[in-house]
Amino acid sequence: MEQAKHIGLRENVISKLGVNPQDAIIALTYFTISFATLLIGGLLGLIQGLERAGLYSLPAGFNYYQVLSAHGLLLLVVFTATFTIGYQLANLSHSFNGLLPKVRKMIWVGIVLKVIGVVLAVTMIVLGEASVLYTFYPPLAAHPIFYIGLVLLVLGIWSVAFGVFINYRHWRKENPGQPTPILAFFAMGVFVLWFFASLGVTIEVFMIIPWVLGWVETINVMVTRTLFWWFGHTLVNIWYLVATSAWYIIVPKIVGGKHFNEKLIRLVVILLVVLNIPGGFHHQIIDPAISLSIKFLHVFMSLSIAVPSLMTAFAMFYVLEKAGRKKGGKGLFGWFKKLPWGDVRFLAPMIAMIAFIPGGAGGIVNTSNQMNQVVHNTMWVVGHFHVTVGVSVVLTFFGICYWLIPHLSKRQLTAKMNKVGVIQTWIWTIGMTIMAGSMHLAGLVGDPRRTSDTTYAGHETALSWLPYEYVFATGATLLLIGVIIQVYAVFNMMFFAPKGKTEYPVAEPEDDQPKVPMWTERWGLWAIVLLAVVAMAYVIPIVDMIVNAPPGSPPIKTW
Amino acid sequence: MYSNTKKSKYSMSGTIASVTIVALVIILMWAGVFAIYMARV
Repeated sequence: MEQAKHIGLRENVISKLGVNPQDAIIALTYFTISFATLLIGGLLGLIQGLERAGLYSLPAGFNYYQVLSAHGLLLLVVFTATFTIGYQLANLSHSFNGLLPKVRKMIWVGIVLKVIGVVLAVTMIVLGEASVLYTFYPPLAAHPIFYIGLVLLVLGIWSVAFGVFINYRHWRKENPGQPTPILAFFAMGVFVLWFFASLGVTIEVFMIIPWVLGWVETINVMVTRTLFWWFGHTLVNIWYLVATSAWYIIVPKIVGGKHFNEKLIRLVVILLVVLNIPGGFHHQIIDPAISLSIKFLHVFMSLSIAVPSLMTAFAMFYVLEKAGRKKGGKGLFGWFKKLPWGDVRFLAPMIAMIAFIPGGAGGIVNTSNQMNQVVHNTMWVVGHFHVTVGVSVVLTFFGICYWLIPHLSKRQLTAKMNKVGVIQTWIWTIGMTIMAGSMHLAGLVGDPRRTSDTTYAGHETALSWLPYEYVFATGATLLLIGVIIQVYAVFNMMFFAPKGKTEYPVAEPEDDQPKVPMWTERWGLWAIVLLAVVAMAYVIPIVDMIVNAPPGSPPIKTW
Repeated sequence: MYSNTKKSKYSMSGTIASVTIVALVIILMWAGVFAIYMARV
């Protein structure tokens, strides 16, 4: 009880502090890069959707795979990463009453490295030297500069991650015996996971660079694919962890409630960090050279992510029902109507959470061995990640913008801008429902993904996919309209909205909550457990792939 | 003093109903794709 009061007071004090102006500039810089990238990446998404449906022909010199590579890299890596960093740094600054000066320097170095890295990688794609898609796995080989760009991108993220670790350690030292503010705890989880996730792709890239430079003749394709998915799958769950920080802590405040038991929230963060990386193997269920028992182990480990996800579903329904009933909601679902549906800060993350129900269910299908045979390499998979990343994550990010950006720029969220946000959210939701829904259906009838021309010389089955592809294009058109509105809203709130104060909506815990367990703060231990889980999942298959290596592959350029 | 047996003053039946709906979505989606798999093997 005493500690609950103290935490309540602490959250109250924190909510008055706001974000340090120097840190606000850093976060806004990240958001500027993020939403500029969203605009370009979103446009490329529509172009490749129209091209695939046969409704548009790319200008000479450009090809479908080139546009798809840029779309994937810009949105899945750059947009999401830059938004995440900006948001997490704002949360840390808010929680810790400002970042340390040396940490700010590390973050600026990180920004410069990331921008140079992205410019190098994207330039190679534009020049037609790196149409290797977002996954870039061998034997497809891009220009060496593409991979050097990726190295700089990872170094930029590490620079920020180490800065966050230093700041966390400093705060713990200055506040002995105190649990870290919950948003800072989430930030630690995000950067710990990011660091360990990026180890896999870093090793992969350092295998690829000598290969594309011609220093070694062949590469072990299986090992590089495996290392990619160590990173690739975890990346998606990093965004999910970022989104859950807003669901657990921001949404309850906006609906006029309190956040759920902090012990459970911290346990969810730890489980998502520790269990995540081995999920990568379910992307390789169809791959040869991995034994059935290893695949079974990975299916089991991938499904383990469902546990913290279902804990989150229960906790959020509880918080929302309690808030709705306080406002007079009656009956089984009367509380649902009492939620603030006209407030974009709630509407966007709420739709994001609802989308995670089919998104998560689809993930369980993908992870199940037999079902994966049905959907593997079909448009189902594309639909799945457009629901999970494109709605559950991205709509949460959009919702965050409507309070965080005016807070950072010392401006107000006006009623007009709130309305713009509500309209944008519905356009996005309808667009994504149409597009991702039809992608799921098309995948079930066999429409392949990552394929420019799917007419197969006019075969009857292939032609049956065309109507679905027209629907993709319709949804993608709505999504581009949504992107344009969102980018307008972000820059309006950054530079043109009326000056004023906007709340940083951090929910407080309930009055009778138990003591926050200090064992949750043992990040060194969680890192060791994470490594043990990764070792259990990866050592045997990777050793097997090396000892019983298939013939290596020379670099191949298919475009 | 926190008590595990403390009851909320509001009904939480909506939470139970909601998580049951989540479970049903998962089961139906899984079963639907499994049925397609069985029809194709």
